[in-house]
Amino acid sequence: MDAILDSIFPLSPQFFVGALTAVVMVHLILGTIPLLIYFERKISAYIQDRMGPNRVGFDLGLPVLQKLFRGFGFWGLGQSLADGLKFILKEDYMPKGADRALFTLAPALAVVPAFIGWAIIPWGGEFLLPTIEFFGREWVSGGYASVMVADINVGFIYLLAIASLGIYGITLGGWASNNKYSFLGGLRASAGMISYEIPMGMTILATLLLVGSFAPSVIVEDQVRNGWFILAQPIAAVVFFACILAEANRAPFDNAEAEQELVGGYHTEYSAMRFALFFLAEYAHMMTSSAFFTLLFLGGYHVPFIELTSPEATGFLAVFVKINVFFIKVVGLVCFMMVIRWTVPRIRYDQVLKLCWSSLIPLSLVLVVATSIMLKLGATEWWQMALMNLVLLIALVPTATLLFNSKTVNKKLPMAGSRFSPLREQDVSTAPVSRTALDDDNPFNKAARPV
Amino acid sequence: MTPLTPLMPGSLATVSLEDYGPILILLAMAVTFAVANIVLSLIIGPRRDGKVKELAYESGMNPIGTARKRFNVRFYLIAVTFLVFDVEVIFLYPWAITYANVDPASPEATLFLFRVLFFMLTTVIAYVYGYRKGVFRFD
Amino acid sequence: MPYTLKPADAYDVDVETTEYLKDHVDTGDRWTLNFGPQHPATHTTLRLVLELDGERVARCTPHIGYLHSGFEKLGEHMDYNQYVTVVSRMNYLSPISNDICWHHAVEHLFGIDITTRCKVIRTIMAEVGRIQDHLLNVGAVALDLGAFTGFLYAFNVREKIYDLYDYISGQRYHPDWSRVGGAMKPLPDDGMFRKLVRNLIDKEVPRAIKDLEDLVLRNKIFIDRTAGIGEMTKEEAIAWSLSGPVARASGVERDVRKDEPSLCYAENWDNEGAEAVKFSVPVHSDGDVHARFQVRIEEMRQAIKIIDQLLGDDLWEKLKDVPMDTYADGKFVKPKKEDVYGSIEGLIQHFELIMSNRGWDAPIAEGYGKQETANGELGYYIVADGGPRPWRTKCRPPSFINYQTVAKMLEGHMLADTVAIIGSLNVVAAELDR
Repeated sequence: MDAILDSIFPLSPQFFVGALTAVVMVHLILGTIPLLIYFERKISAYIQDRMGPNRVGFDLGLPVLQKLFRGFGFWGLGQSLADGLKFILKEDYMPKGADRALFTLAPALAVVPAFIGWAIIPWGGEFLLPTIEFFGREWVSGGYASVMVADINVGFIYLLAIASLGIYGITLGGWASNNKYSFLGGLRASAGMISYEIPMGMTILATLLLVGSFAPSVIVEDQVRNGWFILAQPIAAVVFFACILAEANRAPFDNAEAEQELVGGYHTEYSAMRFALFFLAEYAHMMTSSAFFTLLFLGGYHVPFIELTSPEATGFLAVFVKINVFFIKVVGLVCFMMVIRWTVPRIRYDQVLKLCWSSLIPLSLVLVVATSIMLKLGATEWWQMALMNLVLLIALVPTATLLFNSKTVNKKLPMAGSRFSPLREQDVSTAPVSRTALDDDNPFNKAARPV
Repeated sequence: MTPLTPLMPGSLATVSLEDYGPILILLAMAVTFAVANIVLSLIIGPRRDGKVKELAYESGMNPIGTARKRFNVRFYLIAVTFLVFDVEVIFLYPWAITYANVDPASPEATLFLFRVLFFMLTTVIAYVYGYRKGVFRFD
Repeated sequence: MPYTLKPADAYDVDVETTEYLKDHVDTGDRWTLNFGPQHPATHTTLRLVLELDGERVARCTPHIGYLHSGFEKLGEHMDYNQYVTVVSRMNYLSPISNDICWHHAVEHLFGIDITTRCKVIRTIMAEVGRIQDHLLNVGAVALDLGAFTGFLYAFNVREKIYDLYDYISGQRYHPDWSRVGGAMKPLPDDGMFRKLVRNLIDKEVPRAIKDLEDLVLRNKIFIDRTAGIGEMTKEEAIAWSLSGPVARASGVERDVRKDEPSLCYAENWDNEGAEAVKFSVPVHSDGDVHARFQVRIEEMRQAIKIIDQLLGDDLWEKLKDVPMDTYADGKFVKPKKEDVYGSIEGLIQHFELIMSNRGWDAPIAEGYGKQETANGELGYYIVADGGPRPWRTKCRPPSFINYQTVAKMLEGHMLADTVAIIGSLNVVAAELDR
């Protein structure tokens, strides 16, 4: 027995802290998602000049609790809990033509990547772990450890790999439903997601060029020294933000579940908890993407001029403060995403792809080239990079308008078999039949009248 | 020309599988969460069936045909082009890390820069060719 | 068994594979997709059968018949006052316009000239109805394109309009307010009515219009999704007999209020030489969804202008002693309550009008009365046989005529444009089926 324990323990500090972070953060994120749903409802309500949920408390309909709370509504905070309970109690229905295995697998496939994606987020910087000893055995050896799930050296490669996995759940869910609307939603999602992966990778590249390391902890430390990268690479920040909106299927890129076009898109046929998992996955995805944005561009856990959030502070209090700072930044970004969702109309599916392929990808490519040239020139101060960004923007706007003519955005295309937009060889006249319709004496055709 | 010294940063050279251990814990938790929820709702929720209920939703009408039909997805070419670009990005990552750690004044830096610029140029040629061919028109 | 959920079983007819599906070009990889009747973007129960090639619509077949209530047939079983309740349900977006138009047609048939007061209030209410309809529609276009916020900005003001309906008629949604030769009841209080309308046109509606314009009108995403979608040229619009904002967005200069005016739109409407209300008819040349959106927004501005002219103190001072109902030709108007209880003539007249087998000394004639409602030219063709009820009523519903062009506008565009086109036409399903 002792021999087995000896072979396992003492654990390395990084492993222990990593495992602890995994357990704590999963619960923290799972607990935050209902809160975010509540925020979404409240934010949309305030934007739309209405109240939002303000009645549902925590009495669960039980007379005892009702008496206890005396009708106090907790500002509607119980709404998400009520929704979650409803999801569990509803019937989980599967239409007849659906592919049973994939239909069940898809929500799980959507939710798992969203939850393991943030394994490389350094929530709290370095932590000096004291040695943990009891029962006369050293269980965990003390030492420095990053407060992140896994301090792996491939860092951002892991992010890109996991981010691509999220699409499987949505596409499979759309296909498995045997529903045309769902299938179209799944197709749109896959086309959009693979397209937006490229500018996302490119903008990460442009930022990593400033750091010279994949390791997330190094990225944050670099930002503490040289200023947040949103200052050095504003274009990259904007492009990256657009990409994470598209990857998380959020408005204005939410074509995969466009309610007015595809009813619900890929989750049209889903109900009960399987639907709720898609819903959770979307919010978890938003949080993960926002965490990456924070990590890359907003200095991670760092707040300027506060010593406690610098990488040198490694005490328990410092880690606690850092985690909070990181979390507040993440929630703030998610709320910003919500504000965007309730403000702008949805971009059409083909325009989403067009935006990616003819604007974002060339832009990010040029950005990478410009950044590497700046590196060669040895000009890596944040203001020099910002100046480069500005020059790039000023130079690109006229070039882009010359290169990409957008006049043909909404052209009607001739289609075989169509009556009103026919192919050329099967021309069908849609001119007015009656001459009187075009007659000048017709009151319909009178010239402009004075007002 | 002097032979290039390996410029791989130290952190990339050491790989420890133990670092990936917590990710497995995370994965196990995520999978448990997903499976438990689905099973819970399957157990608790009611079950009722009906002839009309089991139809796929198509705006309240009986579905015309099946959704598992051949379909013109129109983004096959995008998928191919995506591969080109994605592979390019993956190749650029190690380069970026190495290049950032090179002294900018050294001749290696110039060589590194122009090599990758040439590499990108090939992709740009592919992009321009695709653009002229109308791959990115999506209609 | 007279009716089953699946007619296919009972009658051996598969309703889903009728002729319209057979004459299409099947290239093997096309889908036939039902869009409606139960779909979030069709707003009401209409149905399009779309043939999709990728995301592009190769062929579109619009269907009606999912809200068939026999509204026109009901007209043969109700007298000229009762039918207003049905008429207002034909257009639940701006029911008051339909009320006023129906009684305009009836009065045209009977040859009644309504009082100045009634004319003023009907004009105001017709314009309020226009604002109400356009608000919903511009909001719905924004909603269909994914901007839910715009819809609610517009809908908040409709709430105030319901309050106004509530004030004049006691009902919020379907006021059923007009009557032959007058209105259901006089205004409770002139000052209060003017205050409510004044608040509406000075504060609420301009604010909603401004909010909507700021939110979507110059938004690049909105323009990209609406410009060039569902284009109709002027000639096509005339050939397809479009009317209202849809036709005017294509450059057709046609407005019943200008061409064949009635109410306060006509010159000398108070028989004392009053001028017609001044307003412009907005016309756009593009003929696409964006143009229709702009035309509707501008029409709301013009409606505000019209109402503003009819709220002057001088005018209402003059109207003070003018009755709402046309008592001079008292055959069709219910007498005042004190007359009913106080005089035998009043009692008899009330009796004649209320009893279903009496009264309604209608002419043996036929007539067509039309007005410009928010969706276009709404007309009622009435054939009267001298009895208490019309022998036949026929409605010319603007939505129905506009709806026929969906296929023309949509084919060749993408699936996502379907919602923009349907939204811009403002189809009211109750008008489609009647």
